[in-house]
Amino acid sequence: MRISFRNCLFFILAQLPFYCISPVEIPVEGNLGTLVISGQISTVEGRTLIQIGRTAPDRLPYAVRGSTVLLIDHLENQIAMIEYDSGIYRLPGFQGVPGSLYHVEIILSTGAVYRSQPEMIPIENLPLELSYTFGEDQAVNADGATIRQKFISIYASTSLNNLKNIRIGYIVNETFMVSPTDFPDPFGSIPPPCFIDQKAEPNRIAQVSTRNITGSKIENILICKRNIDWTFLEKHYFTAYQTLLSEESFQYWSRVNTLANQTGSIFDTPPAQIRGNIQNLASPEETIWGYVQSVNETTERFVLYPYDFPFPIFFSNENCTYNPNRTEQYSQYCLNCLTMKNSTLQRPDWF
Amino acid sequence: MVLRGRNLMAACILVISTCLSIQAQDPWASATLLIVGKDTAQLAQRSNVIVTGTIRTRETGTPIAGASISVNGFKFFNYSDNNGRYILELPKGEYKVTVRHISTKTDYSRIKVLGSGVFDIELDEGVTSLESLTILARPIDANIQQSITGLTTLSTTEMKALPMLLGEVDIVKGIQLMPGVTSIGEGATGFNVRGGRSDQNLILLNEAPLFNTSHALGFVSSFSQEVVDNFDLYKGTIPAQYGGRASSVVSINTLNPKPEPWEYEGGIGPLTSRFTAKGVVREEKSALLISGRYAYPNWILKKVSNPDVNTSRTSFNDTYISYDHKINDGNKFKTFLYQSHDSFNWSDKFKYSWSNFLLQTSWVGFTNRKASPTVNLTYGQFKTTLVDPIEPTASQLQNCMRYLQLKSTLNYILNDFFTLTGGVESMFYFPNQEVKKGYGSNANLAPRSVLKNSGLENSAFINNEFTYKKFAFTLGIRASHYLQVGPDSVYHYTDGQPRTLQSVIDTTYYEQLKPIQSYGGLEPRAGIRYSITKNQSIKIGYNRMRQYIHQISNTTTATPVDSWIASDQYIPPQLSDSYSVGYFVNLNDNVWETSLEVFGRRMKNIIEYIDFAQLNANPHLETELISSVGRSYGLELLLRKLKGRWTGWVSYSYSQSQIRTPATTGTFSINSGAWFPSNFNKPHVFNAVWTKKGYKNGAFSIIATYSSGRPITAIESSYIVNGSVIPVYSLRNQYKIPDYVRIDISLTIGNVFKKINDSLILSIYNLLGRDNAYSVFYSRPSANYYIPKPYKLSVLGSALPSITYNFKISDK
Repeated sequence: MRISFRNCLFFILAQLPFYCISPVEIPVEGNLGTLVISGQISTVEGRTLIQIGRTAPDRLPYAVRGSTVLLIDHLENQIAMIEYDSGIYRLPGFQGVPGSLYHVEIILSTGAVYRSQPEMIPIENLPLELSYTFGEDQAVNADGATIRQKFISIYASTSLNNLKNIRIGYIVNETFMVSPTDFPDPFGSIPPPCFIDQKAEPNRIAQVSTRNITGSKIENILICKRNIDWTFLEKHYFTAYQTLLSEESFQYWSRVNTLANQTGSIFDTPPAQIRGNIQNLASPEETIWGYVQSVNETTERFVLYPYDFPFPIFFSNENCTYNPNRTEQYSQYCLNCLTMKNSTLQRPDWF
Repeated sequence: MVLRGRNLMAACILVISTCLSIQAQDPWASATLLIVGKDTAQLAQRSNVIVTGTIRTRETGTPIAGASISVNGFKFFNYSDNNGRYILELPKGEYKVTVRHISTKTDYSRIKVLGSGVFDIELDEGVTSLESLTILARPIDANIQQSITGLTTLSTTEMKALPMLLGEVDIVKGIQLMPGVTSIGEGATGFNVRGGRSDQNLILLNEAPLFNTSHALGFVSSFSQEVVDNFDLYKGTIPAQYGGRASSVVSINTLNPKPEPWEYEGGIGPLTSRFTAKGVVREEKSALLISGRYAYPNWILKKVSNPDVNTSRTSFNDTYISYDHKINDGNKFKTFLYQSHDSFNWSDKFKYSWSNFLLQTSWVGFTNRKASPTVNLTYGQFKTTLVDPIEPTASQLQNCMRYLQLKSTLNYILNDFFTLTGGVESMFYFPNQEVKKGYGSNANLAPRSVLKNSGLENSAFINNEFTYKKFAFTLGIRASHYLQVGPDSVYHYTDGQPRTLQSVIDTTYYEQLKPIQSYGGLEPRAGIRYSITKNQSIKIGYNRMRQYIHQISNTTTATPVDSWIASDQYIPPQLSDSYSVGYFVNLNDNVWETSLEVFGRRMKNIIEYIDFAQLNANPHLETELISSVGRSYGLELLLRKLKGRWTGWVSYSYSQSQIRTPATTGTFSINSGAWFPSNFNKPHVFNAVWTKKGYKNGAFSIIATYSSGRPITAIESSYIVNGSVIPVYSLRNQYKIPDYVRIDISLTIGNVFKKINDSLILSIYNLLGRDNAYSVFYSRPSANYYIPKPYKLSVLGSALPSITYNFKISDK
């Protein structure tokens, strides 16, 4: 084969690297076992909760159980929250009152007392409209090949009702059902489905400050971008929460967002610790992570069925449907759907 | 600076070689007898007369520093100074003159001196020894004889011998191979000298300050190789004529166009091309140099499979125009214009551009060759635009720093042992307002303008160089004064509390040019050399520097679009005190040069930032800044081979650069007020450079470089709130990224085509293909894995080859 100079040149240039990203080991130490207290007091029933844990190496915090958690308003009225799950405290039937100041006081089993900074639930409540579109991205997979990835984008719009200088945050949760593989058995029993409720796009922290926005409406804020995968083979709910935040809470989430968007480029803001609003009353210098916020929330929800998509969705490998001719192994969640994160057998009322 | 060390060994060699030359063949036999001076009655009464002149290269007209001029053997002898000027005091008569320099062919002339007069000398480029490759633009024992510490000089010839990224000869990359100089990594703008920040380096292009010296995110420097003649890096003792920055000075000198036949040279590469033309405009009077460079990397970007890369676009260009006009033997006017522009669009995710503009006119006087005055008037501008096209807050941010500079310098050579440099300098900074406005179809963002500080910096300086027995001294003092003037709105904050928006108690508006705040003080400079023997010396140096203009950058490293701000009530001038001690030894007839330097520096009022500082279009910028102190110390070892078939050097530096925010700054102290390493702290740095001369101007070079990883702030644990993972970071800069290792090679093939003076340069940057970490960041959590994992970003992930063809065509 004749190799021309031009071909050689192209071969050399094709090797041109521009950047590459690869895993690296950064051994760390210290700052483990630090108390984490986080949660919110919400105007929506069932959305008020406090979570208590301690940081752990290379995993999420382990729960701190057996604490007394008191919700206190500006009139010093207090209600004890109930530990529903390990380190998770809820207040069934409670709805925060807009304009009221709330804080929580936590008494650990060791006797140490912690308190959050009082925050007022914003008085305003804004309507929420959702819309969505489908799209397709090009991406590079682990093998370096270019692949096409379909996705759904969810947008929020709201009227500002002549309100100035307000701060809004958005959270989108998804809820879907996973039906385990119904293998033939002599009793004809059908394994119960699991319901997974989780944040639809864990990385995204959608926020808007209206400080520099003119006009009476905010339109089409991208609040979630979710890749289409096998979880859409059955009906799939999206629930959006629009939360009006205090200035402090907004700043806290802005910083979380800054850290979440680090790409290692020269334009990255140097990372730093994010201080919350919790304090040890006896020892104010103790480091405590987390934030307890008071929010005024609006909720909207919609559902998608497989036939709602403008394109066919088919994921053979992830499909749990029993097929006697199937040669590949079934996924772990097809055998036991409770192995999935955030899964439960309890069907939500509205599902 | 006058190099007046009477190196006995060098003199002996010159005497011997001169004698040998005379025995073999009388080199003056063919020389025309030239008449110097006029035989006037007044002069006739004096026993001795003064002969002065400038020694230059014939090809480029560049003044040659450190050339030896000897008359009738060694009866009368001197060296040329940095501007190529020399002075001899000798009786009237007829003489044989020998002029030598290590980088040129020896010149033999015959002169008849009738009285005081001018005798300019032009030397042909070349090497004196056929067996050696020597690429020095300085006296070979300059490191021993100079009285100042930490001076590095490199010529374009030296830089051209080094393998460079994309085949571009790069001053900044060359500087980074010197001990005591580090950089964050590929793609980083600027460099760090002895623990100083990149904005603490004064970069002068023909005495005009430049705010940015890079193209393409720092991959290529702003200076084309056809334009640059040489540069000096002052990292130890800094002469008093330089000021305004706290760390170092890089003085870049461009070629002077000569009224000679036109020459054309250039280079063609896969990503950039450049072209330069220079020659006569009016015979013996005026000359012009025009140079341009243009980058066209987009055709390669489009071929990369990564969609982020193939949808990105970048380009840059620069232009340099210089015009010299000789009015008469005593007066010359010089004018130059420099502009550069960069633009970068990263996959429609962000865009930015920046541009430099310089226009300078100078008068150079030669009325009395002992005293040579120079006056420069310069207008400079550095403009940046940063675009965030992401809805709904798509915006663009524009900044523009402008200045006017007037600098007058008088260089006076009293005699062989005493030189005086004095002058005054004024810099007026008058930036445009910072503007943030909506971008593209997004009109929701209300335009916002923020006034930037204007200020006038005045300085007077005097620098004295003299020798006494085995000592040589550089003693200088610079008096600087800064006045911030309106228009500006000054916010007043509650005393004793951290400055926040909530603690603003009053606002004062100052109208145009109304004085607001002033600072000033003396800046002593000193360098002392003691010669132990003819090839050993000890030097000590001390500097005090004030810096009235600051780069505002809350990123890991300075970016090309960082803005600059002049001092104000809340941003006092940065102040540095630097100390250095060095021991210098040359071995084997100056073939080997060795040195050991130890340095220390203390800095005050350096700018640090609160966590998550908001710097863009912020009228309350002072609420985001913390005044800090810094310190750095270290040692530098250098072993360098200057002559022979191969040349090169090995250097090692150990250094520490640390910052502390005093507790008096209240709740915003960083790391609880303890010392912490700066972003660019790299304790161990090792460089090795090896160049071997080949056939027909060919050469082969290798560079090896190693440095410790720089500090980072790492994630120590994480927790979840509302489904979002919140990382818990360590204290600032408590960990470090992996070490950096790189090897580059370069092969130069001379005379590719017979009738053209040309060369082909093949180079491979990062030969090992090592994916050195530029930075470490953490993966975003996914549905399957919540804990952020560390990843390193390598700007260059594998070897980067390049081919560049250079040519030179002359009308001569």
